[in-house]
Amino acid sequence: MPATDHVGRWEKLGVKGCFGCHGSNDRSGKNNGTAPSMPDDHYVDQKAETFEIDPYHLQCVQCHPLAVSE
Amino acid sequence: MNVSRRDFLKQAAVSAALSAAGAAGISQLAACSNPKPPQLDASGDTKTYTGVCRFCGTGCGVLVETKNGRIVRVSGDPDNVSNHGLLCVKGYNLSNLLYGEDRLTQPLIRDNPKTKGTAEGLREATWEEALDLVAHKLKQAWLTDKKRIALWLSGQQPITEGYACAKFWKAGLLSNNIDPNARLCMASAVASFVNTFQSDEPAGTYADLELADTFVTWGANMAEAHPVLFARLMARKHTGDDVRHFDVATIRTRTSKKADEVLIFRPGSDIAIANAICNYIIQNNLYDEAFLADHIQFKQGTENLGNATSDDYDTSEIGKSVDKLESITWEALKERFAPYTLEYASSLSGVPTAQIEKLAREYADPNRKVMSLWTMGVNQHNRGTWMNNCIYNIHFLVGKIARPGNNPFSLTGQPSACGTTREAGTFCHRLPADLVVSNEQHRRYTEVIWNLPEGYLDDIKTPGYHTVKMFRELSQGNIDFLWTAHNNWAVSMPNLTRFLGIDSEYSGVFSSFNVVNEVYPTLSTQYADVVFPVAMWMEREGQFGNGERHTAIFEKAVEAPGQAKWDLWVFMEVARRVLADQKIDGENAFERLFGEIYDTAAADFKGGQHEVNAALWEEYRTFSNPELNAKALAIDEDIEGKFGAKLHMKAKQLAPYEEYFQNHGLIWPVREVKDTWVSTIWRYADGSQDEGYDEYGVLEYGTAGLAHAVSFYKSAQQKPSLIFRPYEPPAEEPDSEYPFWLCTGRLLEHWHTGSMTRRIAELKSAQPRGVIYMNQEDAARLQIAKGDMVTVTSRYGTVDLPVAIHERFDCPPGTTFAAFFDDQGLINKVVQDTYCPISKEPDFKKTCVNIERAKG
Repeated sequence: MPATDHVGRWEKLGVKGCFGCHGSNDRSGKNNGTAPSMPDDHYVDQKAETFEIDPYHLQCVQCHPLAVSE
Repeated sequence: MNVSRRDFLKQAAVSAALSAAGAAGISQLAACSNPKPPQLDASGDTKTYTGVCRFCGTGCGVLVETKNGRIVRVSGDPDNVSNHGLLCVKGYNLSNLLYGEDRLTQPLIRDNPKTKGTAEGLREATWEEALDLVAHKLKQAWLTDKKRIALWLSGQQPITEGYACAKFWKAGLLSNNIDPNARLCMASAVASFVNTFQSDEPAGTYADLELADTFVTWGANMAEAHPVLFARLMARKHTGDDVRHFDVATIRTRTSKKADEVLIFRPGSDIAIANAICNYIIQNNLYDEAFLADHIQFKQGTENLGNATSDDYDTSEIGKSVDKLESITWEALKERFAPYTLEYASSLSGVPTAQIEKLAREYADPNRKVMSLWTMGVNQHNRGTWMNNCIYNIHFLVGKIARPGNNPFSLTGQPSACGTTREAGTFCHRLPADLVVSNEQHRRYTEVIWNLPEGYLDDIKTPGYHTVKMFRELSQGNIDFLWTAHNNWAVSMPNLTRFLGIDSEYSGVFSSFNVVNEVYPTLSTQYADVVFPVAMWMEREGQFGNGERHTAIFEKAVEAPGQAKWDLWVFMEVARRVLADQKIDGENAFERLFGEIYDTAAADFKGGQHEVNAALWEEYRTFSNPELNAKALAIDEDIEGKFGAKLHMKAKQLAPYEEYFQNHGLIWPVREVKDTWVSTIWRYADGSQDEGYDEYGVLEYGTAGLAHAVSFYKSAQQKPSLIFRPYEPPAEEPDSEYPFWLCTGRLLEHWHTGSMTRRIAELKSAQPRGVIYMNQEDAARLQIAKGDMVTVTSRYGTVDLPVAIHERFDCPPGTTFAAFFDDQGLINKVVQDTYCPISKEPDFKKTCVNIERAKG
């Protein structure tokens, strides 16, 4: 992850800030060709077609280090 | 739907334990775990091992995939109940932990002591040369004066290894100068468990995270320091109805941002808040009278303790009396709490009365299950033991403890602070399994299990140096030999200006002979005379015990690089040399202590690592299974009536070693039910063992039919103590010379001193160096912008760091925060070494500092 490109993103947008680039389904199609897709196991029932991120993965920063504007 | 046997067992185990208690959201939790554990690939050259994360105290289970002798992937273990397959960023990057470019692979010796404190001066040596040198120095110092030797161990040391080290030091060398770095993180929780319950253990487990209606975090930034547990907490909020979270903190953190109510208090005033909650509950008749009558005794202790800042505090009159308690009546207790009105607590803490009242009502609401969670903000406190007591006091008053979803829960900081330092006993005052050196019955019990003559351990009936004392003595030139393992003392200790000899008045570190077991070069190896390169994590087999009484094993998956060896082999080789001409009952002392596992002539273990671990485990397990040793059972039962009390050692029962592999860990006490070993999830709670309750403990030692169906059978008179503790001020408070509070702690990306996480590229790049977080207005007033280098000065030392101004740590005016992972900006040079008078744990949270723009 190019951490410096993500400065403040989670703080401002939370998990909603991830979908645009990392989504992998109709509801939140991936629009950044170089971004890794959101893994299936981030979705409820581990299925992207549920269109809902499971509660355990709403806190992006717990698994993905993000540079902060220090 | 196809359900594999693995999935079925996982779901069944979780559901059996939790659904009976009304768990919500557990189906989502199970679904979140990794559905595709790695398996052997078609070519057969990939293999999966079970393990436990190497980092924080959560104790997440991991599945580790290897290929061609290297770890290639790590994923969460869905069958480990501590994390149900979840991991945080550190866990996902574990595979890179072993492969830093500068792994230590050969023993190192420093010939010229004048190079100590620098990156130069260590040369490569053979194992024989290094072991001979260390053994010679240890033996020389030991024979001269055994007060001048010290062993500093760790909550990162696996259980059997810690057990063997304690046996070597306490029985082999008859020295109690052994203490772990857990003194820096968990000692206040330990002291409070003991003076409250007379047993060092929590009643609940992480399972309460799925059951509570209200969470109260006290001095705990779980979102960064315990991310997997915070994910479970957040999941409960998202899936439960009207689940609430109160965060009680001195700085707004990522944890605060997700809380429903944030109580920001003036550092050190948390005891006043807790007492005001108690007083409010009492004054408004919101307490649980039946619970108090059945279960609780009331006490007060020594007060006006002053502060343990000076070297002679422990031997002062007040220092010698800090542990004393006396019984008081309910009426007297009410009078003690009475001054703590909401207004008084608000005036001390700065928290509005309405917020304190709201929290008090939340605790007291009979329709809500409440889980309190705390960690270093409570423990690293000049009144750390007291603040732990205060949280128990609240739960006692409202009868919310030891039942599913209702529990006060102390979060641990290291992967085996509980399993090794506390349960196996590497503290200066302890023996295995909650036993202490000062108790005659405990020494006799230990002697029979260690096959020692009666009275042999009377030489160690006085506790040795606790950690701060150990390093203060070192700095004064009173330690000749210091051995450290599984830690990085030169970064993690407070007051490093003194302990590193930067203050020339304290240069003892340069004259002592220092030995370090390490995997990477660290600041501690720069102060070492000998460095032993050791195998790390899954290069050897070991066991971790986490904060929920869960013990799990990590398998050996790969070989250690170069000549790196298992720490236990290193300890055994030095012990063999030092004890070579020592006798116990006419028998060679080393053979007597370790002959079962070690072949002296071959200078190696009798058997592979698994066999050695299993043998040590079985010996250690005897402490909590006295029926395995007839003499031990006689002392446990006090058959001869010598001691006037039974030990009830089986109350901490452990299972045979292999059971931990098969079950991906177990939560003690582990009971054998119809040939199956079953965990105890809710300690002291009466109910079916199969459903996780403490059926056998209550049946054998406790009393059935009491309020809330709990029985605190480990406590004196089966009643824990509600101990009144007054507010007493911090050791120092901001003034014109040092106007800012400094709080230190951890970040998500780095663990402790960063010696491991800073070698993982993903983590290092995310947070490459330490900074000091400031309040924006404070910075503006001092004309400091973010990124500016500032000089941080305290009464203890000085350090330069870049400034950060960011909502990640949203500091109130006058407050600053710095993480301690960066040895290039060594924040602990300025941190006080004042400690809690009871637990001897330093206060890392309330040093007063000045901040000014760095010169040059």
